[in-house]
Amino acid sequence: MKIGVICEGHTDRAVIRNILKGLKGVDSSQIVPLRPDYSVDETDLSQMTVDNYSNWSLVKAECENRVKIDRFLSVEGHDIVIIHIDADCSDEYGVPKLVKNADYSEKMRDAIITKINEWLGNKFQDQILYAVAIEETEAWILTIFDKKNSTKSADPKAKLKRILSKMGIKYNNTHASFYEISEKFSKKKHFKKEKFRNYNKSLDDFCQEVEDKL
Amino acid sequence: MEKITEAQTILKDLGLPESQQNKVSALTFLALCGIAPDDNWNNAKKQSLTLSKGIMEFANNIYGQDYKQNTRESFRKSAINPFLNFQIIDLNPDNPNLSPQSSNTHYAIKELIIDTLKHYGTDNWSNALELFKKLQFKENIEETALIRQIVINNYKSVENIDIELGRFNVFIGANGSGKSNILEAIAMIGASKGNDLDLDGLMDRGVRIANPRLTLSSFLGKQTNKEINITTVFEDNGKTIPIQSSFESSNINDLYAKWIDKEIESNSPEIIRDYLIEIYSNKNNLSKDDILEELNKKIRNRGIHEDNKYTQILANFAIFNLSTQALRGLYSHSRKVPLGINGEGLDVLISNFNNFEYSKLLKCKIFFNWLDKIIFDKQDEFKLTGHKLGKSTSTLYFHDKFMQKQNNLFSAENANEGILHVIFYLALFISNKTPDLFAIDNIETALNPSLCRSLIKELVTLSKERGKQTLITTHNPAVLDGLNLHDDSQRLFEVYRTDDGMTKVRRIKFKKGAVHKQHKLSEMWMEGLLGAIPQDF
Repeated sequence: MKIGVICEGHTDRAVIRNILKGLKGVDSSQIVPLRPDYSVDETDLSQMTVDNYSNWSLVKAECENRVKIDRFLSVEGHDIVIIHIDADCSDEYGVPKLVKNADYSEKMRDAIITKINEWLGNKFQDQILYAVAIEETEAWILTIFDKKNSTKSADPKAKLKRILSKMGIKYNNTHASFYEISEKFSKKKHFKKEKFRNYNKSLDDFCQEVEDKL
Repeated sequence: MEKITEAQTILKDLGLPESQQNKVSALTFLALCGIAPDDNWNNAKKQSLTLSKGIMEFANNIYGQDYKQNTRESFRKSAINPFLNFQIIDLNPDNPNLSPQSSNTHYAIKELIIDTLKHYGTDNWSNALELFKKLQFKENIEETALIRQIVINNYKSVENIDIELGRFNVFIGANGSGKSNILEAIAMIGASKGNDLDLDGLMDRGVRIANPRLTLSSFLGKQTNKEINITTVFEDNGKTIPIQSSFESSNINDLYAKWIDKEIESNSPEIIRDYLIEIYSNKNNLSKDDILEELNKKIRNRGIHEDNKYTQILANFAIFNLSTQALRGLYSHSRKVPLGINGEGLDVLISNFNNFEYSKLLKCKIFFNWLDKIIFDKQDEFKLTGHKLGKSTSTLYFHDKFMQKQNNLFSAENANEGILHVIFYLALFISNKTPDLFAIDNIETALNPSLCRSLIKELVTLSKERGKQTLITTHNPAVLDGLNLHDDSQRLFEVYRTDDGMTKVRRIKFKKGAVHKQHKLSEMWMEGLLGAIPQDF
């Protein structure tokens, strides 16, 4: 089985890779990066900023275009595509921010999934796993280092930086680095013992979806 | 004489050289076919004729010639001998035990010629000629056996894989994914079945020799198993034939240690029993000493290993990995014949091609618009007239049709590397003397992407026509565009390593209903949709 992954950046895929391994024993060789990918060459890349290479608009474009998803799913053993998106800029892609009450995370996630399905023309729904990070994937990683609920954290990126810096853990914005700092997700025993899912609702929802659909 | 001219044309079409398209050859052919001036070619019939009273009298009486007895040699030289060589006629079909000097020596046209002539003058003539050239030499008949399944356990990075092969198999994967290890495992079983399981035997087949400790799978946190197990399963006309090997090193710490195939050892008693049965069935009254001597003879000649068509196919397996220098004849490292694993021996092999093989080889003209002719300088005389420096041992030359006639010949030493690679691959697939099962590592070397695609398509066709089975590795996406994955005999595999470093293989196949996928496999690979790319950059 191969799992295609469309996400905002390579760092998000690193975290998803560890989660899939920890929950379902999915080997890295089973994960196929669909976006971001290498469809842009170094000549064009040199003219792009990180923001326009790695953001929600590319996820949206990939969903609306659907060609790559369709091609990926045409091969035997290719039955699932994970679509990852952060909620931090949701109002930019047409999902207004909600009031942060008790069911904020669930409601934001539902609204974003509806939006993703709209981009997909309501196709492929049985074959999609929605990895909606509220507000950012960094909030999921925070559950490893900070035993407080990160569901409503306004700026998890900054918070993770602060906490890891305090702990003397160096990291940068690369796939390898995020793979390393989220490594604890790759073991089932850590999930059980450290109860990561209790500290972030959107992480828990994604994990539930992985357990149900994979 | 219209019929004589027609006979000359037919001889030319059948592929006989110019020297066998003369009047004597034509009259001999007409006589042996029993064709008179007003007969139709589809009335050709098989009849046994002697030279003087049969063939020469027919020429004189039916075609008004006046050949005297002293021209017999001319008939032999121009017609009889070449006809025999080219499998146009049979010698003494009515009495094969006649002595060579017998006055009853007779000849008859082959049935295949009679069948071919039925199509002369029809739209089907070129197809009939193609079929004739294929069936003309027995060895042109393709092999029917195919390996359907390979199971490899404990070889280098391959802890355990099970591959279902087609006829034409392409393997893609990141560098270091273990593609070559899969090919080497087959070479190891080949060396064993070829009674050649030593370092030379392995290297001759293209295996990279490593310390036995590294040849056995060795993964972190896993105990090393001391045995390598490889099973191949052949399919041949509906039959399934499994062939197994279990290898153990005589000294796991010694680079030069011998590998022992325990499967062969365990089969030895049965093989010796079979030898004894053979000895007894031929001669009944042998003394004990005679029996031992006969048995020793058999063991010396045939070894104590299974020897059948399938073990032979495995024994001839080799991994070809071409070097332009070897193709140019500038070095010769591989001892394997007829073609060395680096490209050696190409000139000798194709200069000995029969008509059928040569006509297939000329297909290479479609790949090179400048190519006029392929020439073999059998006496290696061109070097004396300044056509090459003489450092190359290759006697292969090419005529470039765009160059001036007096200045259009150039040697393999000077030829572009693409044509040498292409001709090598065509020869490998066409020849009946090359292995029926082989691998090509990095087939794209020196080839333009578009050429890769066309070449693969051609090689797929040849593999079917010539009964070859192949495993090919590549890093060039264009190779994939030459494959038709809707044809089950053409298969594409991804080779990858797991998080634990183990090499795994999976077949890449489209789901049912994805007939019009409308995207090229090369693009899908480049987009990362097929895997087989490094991920973590």
